[in-house]
Amino acid sequence: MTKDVKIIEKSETIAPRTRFSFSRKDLCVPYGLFLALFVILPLVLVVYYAFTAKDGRFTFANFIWFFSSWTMIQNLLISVLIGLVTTVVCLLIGYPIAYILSRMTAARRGILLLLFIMPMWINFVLRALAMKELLDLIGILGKFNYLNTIIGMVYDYLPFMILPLYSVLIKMDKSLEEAAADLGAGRVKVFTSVTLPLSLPGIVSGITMVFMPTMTCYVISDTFSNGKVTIIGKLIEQWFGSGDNWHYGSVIALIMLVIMFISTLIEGKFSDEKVYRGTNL
Amino acid sequence: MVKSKIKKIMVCIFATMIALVPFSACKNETGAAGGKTFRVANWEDYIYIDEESADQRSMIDDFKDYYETKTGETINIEYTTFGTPEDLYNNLKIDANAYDVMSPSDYMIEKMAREGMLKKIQLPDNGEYRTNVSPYIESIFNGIKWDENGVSVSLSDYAAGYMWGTLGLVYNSEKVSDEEMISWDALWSGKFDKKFSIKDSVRDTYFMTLAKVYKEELKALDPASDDYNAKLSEIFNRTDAETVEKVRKEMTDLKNKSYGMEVDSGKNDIVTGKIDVYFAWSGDAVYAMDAAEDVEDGETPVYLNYSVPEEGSNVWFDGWCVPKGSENADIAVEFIEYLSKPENAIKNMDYIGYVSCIAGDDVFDRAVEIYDEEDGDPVDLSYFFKRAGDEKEYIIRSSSTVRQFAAQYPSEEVIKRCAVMSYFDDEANERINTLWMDIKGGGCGSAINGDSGILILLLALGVCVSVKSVIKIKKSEN
Repeated sequence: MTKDVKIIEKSETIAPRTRFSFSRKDLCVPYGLFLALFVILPLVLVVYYAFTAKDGRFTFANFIWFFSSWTMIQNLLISVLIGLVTTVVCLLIGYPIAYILSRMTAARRGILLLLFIMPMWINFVLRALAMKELLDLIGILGKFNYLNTIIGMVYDYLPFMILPLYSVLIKMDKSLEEAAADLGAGRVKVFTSVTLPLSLPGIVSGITMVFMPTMTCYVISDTFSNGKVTIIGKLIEQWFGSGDNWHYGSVIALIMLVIMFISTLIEGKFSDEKVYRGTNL
Repeated sequence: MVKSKIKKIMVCIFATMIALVPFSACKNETGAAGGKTFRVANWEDYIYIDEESADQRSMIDDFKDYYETKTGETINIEYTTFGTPEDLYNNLKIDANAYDVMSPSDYMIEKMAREGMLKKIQLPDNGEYRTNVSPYIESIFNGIKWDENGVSVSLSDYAAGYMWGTLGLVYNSEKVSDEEMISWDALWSGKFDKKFSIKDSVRDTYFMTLAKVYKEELKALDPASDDYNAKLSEIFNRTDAETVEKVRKEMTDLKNKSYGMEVDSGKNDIVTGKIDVYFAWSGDAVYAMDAAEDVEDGETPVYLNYSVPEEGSNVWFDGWCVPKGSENADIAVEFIEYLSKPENAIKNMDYIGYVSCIAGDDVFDRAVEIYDEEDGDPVDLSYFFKRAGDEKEYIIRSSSTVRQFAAQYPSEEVIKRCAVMSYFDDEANERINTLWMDIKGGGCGSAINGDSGILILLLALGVCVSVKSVIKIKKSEN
């Protein structure tokens, strides 16, 4: 009896090898499913709601509403502005830090890099609340709401700027800088005509990682401005929640998507082949 | 060849099913235990938890045991919390059987009931709820009525009261005098600029602004007249276009003057001294007052007071109701009856700080135990406790009209000037939501004023640096 079973088992174990042959393509099935369920499907729903009225009829009225609402246009501009300012400030602070880090000895660099990354291990809502108390201590909380929002955004997204910059700068071939110096370029000249152009891919990916989320990260703006600065992400949430109008919410979400897409295209222009030279050496 | 394709597809399907197991686990678990699943949706921190017990036993667990002893049937309870009543509404729109019992606010119960989303609940006439509920709450529930297929129905048919309270102003007694807080006007006066918070919730802030807009009309009403409350309620429920425009102006002003808009950080902000005046629901008011007084040795306590301004205010309540799709309405009735037992109502009140809709002698005795002061002035609470045919006097002596007691049990004089805010119909809802979005998202021009200088400087600096570097890069490329 037991022998029989064993024999069957044996034949079973050999068989699948030939019958189930997974190609590498099959490995993406789980992700494909994930994509379909959690990315494509919600997107389809957003598009559906954006183009329908409350009674389910097809309409462009929601778009007309958005572009004829001064509040929405104004809010969109303010959100883009907040995103821009945050990105620029992050870049101004982040670049020197990434540069210094990449020029350090390996041992010190490890410790310092850890210090920069460590805050990311703590939940960002907690960090935001702690930072808020700090601003209160300084005495500017509740007084400069837009400034505080930007401080909060910069605080939260700075690591996302530093890391891509750092990883590009550390990989950069230092002999190029030395060569430039040998050929008579001053330190400033070396930086502006060798280091900076070579680090452009890092700058672009840093900007991408900071600019896009800051336009919609309303937890930060809510916390740091005591709910007085509203960015476009918050308005989407409001229309879906207490505003009780998913159609308006979806239109804003769709318009944001288009803006993100356009900004990705623009950023893509900067990181084309020509600029990449050097990093592949 | 074809066969292997089919096999592959089958494997994929199985793999997906296995992957999806965790998602359906909660359903399986309840199925395995055999009993029915009873789903409760409640606000956060809105039910008694025995903090002494090792497993943080809540009243939900107690109800499970109670139900088992009473009926011999074991049930599983799924307890979820919600952030806003709108979340409940949205969830029910997607799945009419999402919950078995839930506790949204007044206007949302009315909205859901009118839209046919709720089941009528049949509470026994001699049961715990009907015998213990406060006559005041009952009259409010009976007063909210509408026609349903030619039959007049009221909120009592659809819901049972849970907690109730008023809206008012909590203020730091060292910095703000009682006289200043008798009018909502104080917030607009400029004296408390950046020192008061308002609600980041359209209904509450809209209500308060109405008091400012129609101040003169409200003051002209005669509190002694019979239809005082009816007239007051009419004013506080205005949603016409003209009113909304007036509210827009005052609300924009209010937002700019305020320290911030919040729904839960305010109660801590007034304790830590970030603000001096806090626009609050009475339960949060009591929480803040207790927290400010209860300090460690060596620290000086802060005494906060609570005022319901003279123009009038809002009386709100949360009630238990049953969604239309629920198959466990019988358990829901048992649940409501269980929560309506006076001893359980007291436990809930003590734990969450709000006032239960349940009256009854035990509840009154508890209030006496906590608040009665021998040298205080008598406050008659008959409106809340006295049932028809009841001879007992419901008087608690209190030395102050602005402390915890007054926040929890407003006097009859105060309650007279409190109006229920009913739900907005679709048209009004759209108008008010648009107003709210304009207030929240617009007006950047004036709001940004304070820090525009710094912002523009930062931006200009950033743009200069980036333009310069781009030019340099372009140059070096050529």
